[in-house]
Amino acid sequence: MSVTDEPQTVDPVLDAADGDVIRIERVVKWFGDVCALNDVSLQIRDGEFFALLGPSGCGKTTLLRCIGGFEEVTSGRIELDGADLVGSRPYERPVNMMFQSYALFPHLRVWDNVAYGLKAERLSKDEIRSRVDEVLAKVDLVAQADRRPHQLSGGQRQRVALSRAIVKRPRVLLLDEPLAALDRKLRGEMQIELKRLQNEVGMTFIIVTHDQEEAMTMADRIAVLDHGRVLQVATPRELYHHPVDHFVAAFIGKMNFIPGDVAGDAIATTGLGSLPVRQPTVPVSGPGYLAVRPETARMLGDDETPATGEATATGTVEGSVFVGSQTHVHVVLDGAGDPFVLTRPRIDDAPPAGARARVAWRVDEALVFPRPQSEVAVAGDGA
Amino acid sequence: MRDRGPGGGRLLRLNMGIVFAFLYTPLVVLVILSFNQSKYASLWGGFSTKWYGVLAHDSAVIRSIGTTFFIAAAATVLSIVIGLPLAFGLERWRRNAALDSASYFPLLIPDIVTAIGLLSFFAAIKFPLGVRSIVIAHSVWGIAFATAIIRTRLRGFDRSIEEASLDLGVKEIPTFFKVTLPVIWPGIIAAALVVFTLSVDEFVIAYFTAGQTVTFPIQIYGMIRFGITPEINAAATILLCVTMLSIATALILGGRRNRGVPEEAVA
Repeated sequence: MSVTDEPQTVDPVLDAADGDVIRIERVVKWFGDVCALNDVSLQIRDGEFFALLGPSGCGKTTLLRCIGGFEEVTSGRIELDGADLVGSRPYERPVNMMFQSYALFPHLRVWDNVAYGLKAERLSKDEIRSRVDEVLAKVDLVAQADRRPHQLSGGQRQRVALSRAIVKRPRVLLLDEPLAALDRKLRGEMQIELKRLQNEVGMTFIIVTHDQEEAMTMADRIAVLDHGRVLQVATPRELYHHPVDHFVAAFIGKMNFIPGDVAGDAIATTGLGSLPVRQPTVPVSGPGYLAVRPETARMLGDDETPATGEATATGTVEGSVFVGSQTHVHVVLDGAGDPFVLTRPRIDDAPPAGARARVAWRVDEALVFPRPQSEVAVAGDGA
Repeated sequence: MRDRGPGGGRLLRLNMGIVFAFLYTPLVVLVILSFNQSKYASLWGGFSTKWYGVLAHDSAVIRSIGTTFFIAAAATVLSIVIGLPLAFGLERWRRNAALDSASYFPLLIPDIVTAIGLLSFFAAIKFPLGVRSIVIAHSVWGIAFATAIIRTRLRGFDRSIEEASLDLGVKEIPTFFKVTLPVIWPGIIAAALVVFTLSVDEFVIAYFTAGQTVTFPIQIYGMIRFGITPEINAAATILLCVTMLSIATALILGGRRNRGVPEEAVA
């Protein structure tokens, strides 16, 4: 590993002061001829709830396993409190992992599962007992302490896995899709529970998830990954309101995209003519998308005129979907492909399918993105 | 599941009855005759356990049983000690079709071929025939059996529990003894029981490689030359019971496979 021998370029004074517990620098990981991580750099702050978010195969689990020591990086550095972790074995790292499959020891009782890691530290019997009992009380598993893992429900197993990792009081807790195996209702409860626990123990959590809602609910900051690259690192709010590109915009929340050609302050579309856009700081031109969040759009009444600063588009109502607290109205815009979705608070004023409709949105709330290179190439091939 | 054609159920049941009768009648007859007071198989002289008594006082039979159990135990230990690492190697490191077949092949070779091969081999290296040569001979397929059985256990093994152990601060070798071995233990016991049972009743290979040693099957073979006596039936019944007991244990232990594998996460 020649990379690890290179002198540090980071100022040590700055390094100590900035509160990062984990620094990932230019990490590359190849599996055979597949590149799982492509030049990933991240800083994770002390006490932070950090999420690695992306579709399956984006490299998020690989990155977590590199931090845990279960995969060796091909090149790059992973530092914990300034010390390089590369090359050290999992049992030498002050981090613990909660596995997606939970990986409970099937032959041990719940209590012994949790005590396993403390026994390895050769702590006194009394200390082991008090720490295990304390953690089991925290996750409400005292009554199940003598059970074997196969006698537990999914939610209970999940809590055993969690307590087995936190009882070690690691510097950083790694969680690999910790809620994926739970049903929807339990998952919602556990999101709150995990967040509460993290506050309580004051530990740094790094969670891997493919569920953007889960990441948004729990994380202080989120790194969005795709194809082994970090696309954006930001708070849930920033990600939602200021996604850096088309992929992030589509992945986080619901977004309506209207394709066209961007030139200056307008996008030329096939069926809707020219629509006004507000250019971002780095201006976009050429093939691109106008992006509108469903909740920022509204439906115009029959003879209502749009307000100043609003853009409008016409289309035909395809239908509406009642989701309980609100209704999603799908409008196929003239000449545009995917239906434009807008949310309305109530069902009773949803227009009938087949009706003509006008939608309006504030130009300064809409975003504009260049079309991804891959899509441009595909479109070019088809023509 | 219960969808049968009209009358098909009765025919199937009849067929099943005939097959099972065919399979088990000889065993039932054997057991019944071992309790026959009369010396003649064709004549029922009333219920008696006297042949078991006769058997118990036959020192040659007792000695042969001792020899057989010693050989079976030694072959079992040897098979597990060699088969366990082999199973790990084949299952976890090199996935190779040729190696796989090589590990199963001894199970498929006719016993007579193995027996002749071993006899020639022992003669060639001037290895004295006796208990040790039978132990080695039985280990030849014992290792193959043990490897195959332990491998099925390893295949269902969730390796993340080994990673969890490393993660919790336990090094590789202690992890093997604290996590891996306890989880695959039922598979090892099952393998041991199967090898033991097969060794106890194995005749052909033992006969070829025994020299002057007399194992239990060889002893019975010797006695049978003077006609089937109820004493032999009694001996066979005891053997049958021992075999059934250990196979049942092996099945129960082998069947507890899900202990090592976390149940599928059902969302």
